[in-house]
Amino acid sequence: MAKGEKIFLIAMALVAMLWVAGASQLTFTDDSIPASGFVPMIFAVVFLGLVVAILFSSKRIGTVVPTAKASERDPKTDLEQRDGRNKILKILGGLVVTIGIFEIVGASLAIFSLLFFLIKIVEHRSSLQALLVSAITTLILHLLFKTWLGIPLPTGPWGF
Amino acid sequence: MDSLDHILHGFSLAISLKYLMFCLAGVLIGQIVGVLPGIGPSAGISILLPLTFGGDPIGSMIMFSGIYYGSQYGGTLTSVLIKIPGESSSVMTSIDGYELARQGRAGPTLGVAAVASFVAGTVGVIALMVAAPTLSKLALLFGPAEYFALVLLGLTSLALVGGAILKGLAMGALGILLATIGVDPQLGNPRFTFDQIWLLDGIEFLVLAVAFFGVGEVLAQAIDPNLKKPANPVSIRYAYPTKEDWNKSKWPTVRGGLIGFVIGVLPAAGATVASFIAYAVEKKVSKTPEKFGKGAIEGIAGPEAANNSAAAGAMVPMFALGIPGSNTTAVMLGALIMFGLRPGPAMFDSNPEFVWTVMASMYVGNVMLLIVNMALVGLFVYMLRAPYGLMYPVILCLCIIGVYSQSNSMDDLWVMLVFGLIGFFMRKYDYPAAPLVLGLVLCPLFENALRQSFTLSQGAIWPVISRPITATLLLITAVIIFSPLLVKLFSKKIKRN
Repeated sequence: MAKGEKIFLIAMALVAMLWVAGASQLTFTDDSIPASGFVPMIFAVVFLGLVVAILFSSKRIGTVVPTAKASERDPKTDLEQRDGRNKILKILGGLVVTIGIFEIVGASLAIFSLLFFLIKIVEHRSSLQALLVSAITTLILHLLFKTWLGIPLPTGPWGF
Repeated sequence: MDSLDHILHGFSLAISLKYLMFCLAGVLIGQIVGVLPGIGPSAGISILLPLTFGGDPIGSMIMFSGIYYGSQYGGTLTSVLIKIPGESSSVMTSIDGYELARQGRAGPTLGVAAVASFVAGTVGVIALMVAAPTLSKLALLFGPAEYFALVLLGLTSLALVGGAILKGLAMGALGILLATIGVDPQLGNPRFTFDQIWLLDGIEFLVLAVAFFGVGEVLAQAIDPNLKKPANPVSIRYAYPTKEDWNKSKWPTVRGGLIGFVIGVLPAAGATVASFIAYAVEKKVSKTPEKFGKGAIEGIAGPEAANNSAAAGAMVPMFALGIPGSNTTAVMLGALIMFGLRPGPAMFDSNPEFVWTVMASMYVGNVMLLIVNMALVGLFVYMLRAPYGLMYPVILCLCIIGVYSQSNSMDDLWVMLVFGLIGFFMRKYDYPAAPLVLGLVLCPLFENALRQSFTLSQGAIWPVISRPITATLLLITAVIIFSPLLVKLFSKKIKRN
């Protein structure tokens, strides 16, 4: 089992424990009839048990993935992984900023900026292509959601 | 006037130009609604509802029905082409559909899906016409205890997806835990809201579905050198299914159609559960179950037939009992009441023209869907040629606007981002998202049914589990849970011998 997966499972186990703690504050049964805490408690315990079972089963059948030494690693794979990580961080950063400014600058400008950022900066496409795709997509989304479906998307200080 | 006269009268109205236009509009809007992640048929119908106020009830209901089953196929398009199910009932299609598209077989996949949807949808509508009054009586046999057992069966069946049963069960349990966030549906006290007012409404299925299948998938593809490559370019010449594809998919279509209709008839079960069970059945009966998840055409035909047939079946409890079979039929039920109609057992007698015209229009709508989809398969396949580097920014923007449109909430967008990241890790470490999302959808039904059945039995277990239907469903659930363990034990014994 990869180290990252172990961390993921430990995080899941913590979620299960949080639910056990929360469910213990609620009524479990009321006159033998399941109350608010019944389903959360049962399933939190089941979830915790399953997470532990996954951790245990992978250890028992010996699926530990040996980590290659630095000298044995394929430099191309390393580079691809680093590129992938950087790309994810850029996409996540773009999403965080877009959601953060969504109501401040308006939906259209936020969406246009995200599209331009992803196509130009993350995907390294030409400025013209990035500009065209961003503008056309923003326009279509605006027409579809705001004009046609009448969804009140936030508008910025410029009125769009 | 007997049933046959009602049906013929319904058809004569359904093929009039006015209602054909309503039907075409519904089918086309449904396709768009199904394609767009974040806007489901229930949202689409809700948005259009104010426009139909004071209008023609039959025409409006024909359009709403068209949106419902049109969206089932629209969801298939995005499931196959970009692995984002526009609808929860298309989750199962995305598993094998996307793999087939990556192998350059998007065209045949969409073709099989269109024909399976048409055949099952048509069979479903005919079955609905013939059996609706009788089935409505059968559906009355399902009490809370039966629903509790049915949902438990649905939830445990989720573990069959992907192969890693423990991971599937864990994700299903996590989905149930997430569904407990919000106000207790029976007692009204807040649970797991962590003093956040916006969590009182709970976490919407749609937000999680978009997070896992949209944002999480995009992030996963960013680090996967194989996934990053665009799918194999497909020639339009190969856009249609081969004879072998038809042979492989004919029985899954029949089985899916039957499963879909029966599940759809059960109030509150719906197309999602139907598509899942159809997939599980196909995997079980297949001679090559190992191909499921890697591009099995049977994994398309079964669930697609089931979800379309379930859309027809879901109309039975709505019309005959006044109980919605799904989120969408719940909105449609509201529309019926808005039009001044009273859904319930008397509906077939009091408003036969309304009921039978809407049913007849569903058959007409299925023909329209087949024509539109078979004609446009090549166009849909052509969409695959778009470079992924240009597609995923558009997908992310659709996710953002779709989630925001759900309830105009910024909190939903942050939830989408967080769960998108969790979805990325789940994808990376091979934890299936479908059980989690479906656990979230099914939990309210499960919890209500469980608590109601124990309230009725005054806390005693035996009266709940000893009911014949409940006992049968619980037995099947137990078999599903323990069968892999038994198979392992037996195979070890056989090896030793």
